[in-house]
Amino acid sequence: MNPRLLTIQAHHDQIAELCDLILQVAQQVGFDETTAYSCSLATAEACENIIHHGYTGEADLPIAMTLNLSEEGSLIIELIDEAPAFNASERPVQPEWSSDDPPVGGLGLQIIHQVMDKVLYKRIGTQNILTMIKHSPQ
Amino acid sequence: MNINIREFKRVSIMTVEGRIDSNTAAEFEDSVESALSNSGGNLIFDLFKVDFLSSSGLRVLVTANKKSKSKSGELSICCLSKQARESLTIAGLDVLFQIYPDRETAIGSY
Repeated sequence: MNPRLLTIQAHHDQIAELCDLILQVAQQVGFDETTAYSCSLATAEACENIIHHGYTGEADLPIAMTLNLSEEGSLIIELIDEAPAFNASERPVQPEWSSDDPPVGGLGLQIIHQVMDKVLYKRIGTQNILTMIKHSPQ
Repeated sequence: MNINIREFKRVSIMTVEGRIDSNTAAEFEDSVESALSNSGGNLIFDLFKVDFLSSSGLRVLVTANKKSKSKSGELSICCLSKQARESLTIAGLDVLFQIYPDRETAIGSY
């Protein structure tokens, strides 16, 4: 598969475009509908975090996504932004919670790590590079 | 996202269509607030036509559940779409809500 590139501006109404591309490509390369959806959800969560925490709100600043497939068939989603450094690769500790006190914060990061098999981060220059990998269904 | 609210004697049903995400969560939250006020805290979400549910939407559901309880009401969900069910399950929040397969069963529980 040739890498697919798509850049959006950091506006909430543009995230769906990235999600739609992931849904389409993931199913084309053999992931089932549920897994394709969960990968698009993880990407939406990462973008929501970039806009909300990284850029501290909507801005005319880029979020660039590259979609690729490894030789083993893993789906590789790379997101690049220019917000201050934030390492989203560390799996957050999920605190104990009860039905009387369910979590309302930190859900996005939890979802990313729950869904993806690998989450990697690096900072190059002024850019955050978040790489999320979902292993091949085969 | 489209939202439709139908009021019954004991409970209101909010039917949501489309994406519930960071782009629509504020509108969703406003509608939920209003519905909870008018229904005494008893509210059913029909999520059959929700094709995307991110953490922004999940937060609204969790907060609504708390507010419903504070009014001595009960919040439930019916007709979950595959996508909404997957989001709730991934987040581990499916155990938080009473989930019914159809509207009739949900309404009958109030």
